[in-house]
Amino acid sequence: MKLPQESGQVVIILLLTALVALTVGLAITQRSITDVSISTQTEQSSRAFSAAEAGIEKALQLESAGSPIGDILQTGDLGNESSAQVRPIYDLPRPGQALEYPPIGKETVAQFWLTDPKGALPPTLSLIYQGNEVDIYFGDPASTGADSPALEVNLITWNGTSYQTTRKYYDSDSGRIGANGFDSADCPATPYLINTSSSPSADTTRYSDRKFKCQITPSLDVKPSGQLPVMIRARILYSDTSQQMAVAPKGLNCNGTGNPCSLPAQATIYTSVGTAGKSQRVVQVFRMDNVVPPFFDFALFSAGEISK
Amino acid sequence: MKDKGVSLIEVVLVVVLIGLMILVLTNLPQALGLIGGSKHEVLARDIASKKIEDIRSQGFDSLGSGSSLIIDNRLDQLAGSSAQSLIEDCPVTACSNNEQVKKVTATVSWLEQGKLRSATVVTFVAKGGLQ
Repeated sequence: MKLPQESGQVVIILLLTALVALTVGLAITQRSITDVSISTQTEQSSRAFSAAEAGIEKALQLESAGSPIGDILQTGDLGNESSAQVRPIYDLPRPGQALEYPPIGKETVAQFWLTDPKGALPPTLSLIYQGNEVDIYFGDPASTGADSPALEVNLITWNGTSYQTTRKYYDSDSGRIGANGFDSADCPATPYLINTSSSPSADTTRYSDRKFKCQITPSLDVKPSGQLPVMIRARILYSDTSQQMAVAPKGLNCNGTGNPCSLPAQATIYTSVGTAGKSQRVVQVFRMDNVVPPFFDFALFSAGEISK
Repeated sequence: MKDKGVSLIEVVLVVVLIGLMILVLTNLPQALGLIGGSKHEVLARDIASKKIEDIRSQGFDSLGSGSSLIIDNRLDQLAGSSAQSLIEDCPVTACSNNEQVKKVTATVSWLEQGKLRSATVVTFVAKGGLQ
């Protein structure tokens, strides 16, 4: 006897529908877990960054008040389960090391002391940079075309009775030199790699090998006859993007001393590491004493009144 | 004669499937709420962080102690929101040398599914500091 054959698809359809609903529900649940995880990390990161800034503020205030923070400064808990640790590096650049300025934009001036900034002015022979030349490195190796930088270099010297300025202009783009009359900077295909005072990591014992697009060639003579060098003020031209810049001492046997030439100590880098939960954020501040305001380069000095 | 019926493994699989569905569907509203809540958390923290930077840009000498309301158009996106900043002298536990430092706290509060939530950002602003 043949039994009747049952047929139908309702159960299968119901099962498939249930599977789809389950998949959608699981996806939404997984998305919510991810969002919560991200927002938690963002919250911790924000607290850590604020703590890092707080550490910098406190360190700068103590330094300004004449209470150096020494090797390390701990802020303690700020009241929201975050804290910061600040480590300074004083007296940069190290002997024989290049001093790197933080990246600067167009028309911004970077200042490099060639005499001890803490010493009295006008400069004296014992406090000035002892070498006869410096190398100036500038430019982001990735800059091309209209963003290729040019450099205005203003050397300020003391001739015994008054301050003198000497301006020179260098361009990394050979195509512009015919029109602007600048000198050509040495910009090889392989960027320059030099060790500078920059220390972008939280590990303040390491200094960076940094890449630069160009070097000024010939090197700038910082000691014109009968004059003492005071400072170099350099300004980026043409490029709309931030450009790095460094000044390196030149000479392995400086003034017959047997030691390499060194720039005067003139900068401090404060590195603050803020911690909140599992997040850490680092804030770094470059501080240089006695920086002349940017309008200094454009000021007109006169012994008497100036009538227009 | 062939026996008809449902095997044990089929029953177990269906029970597991239905159980998972119930679990997921009952938690679905909560999951959707968490997604919205995390967005609001990020927004609130951003509002507080912006206020902190605005205060820092004023400079230490311009800061007076006390609390004030935070005004930000984005607060409209948070239900039942209120925001205020508090400037006070740095506590002795953090500033033991009478440093000229102010402690700045920015707090944004809002209602999330009927519950009060808040985001707080704390930092220092010092004389001779970042500004």
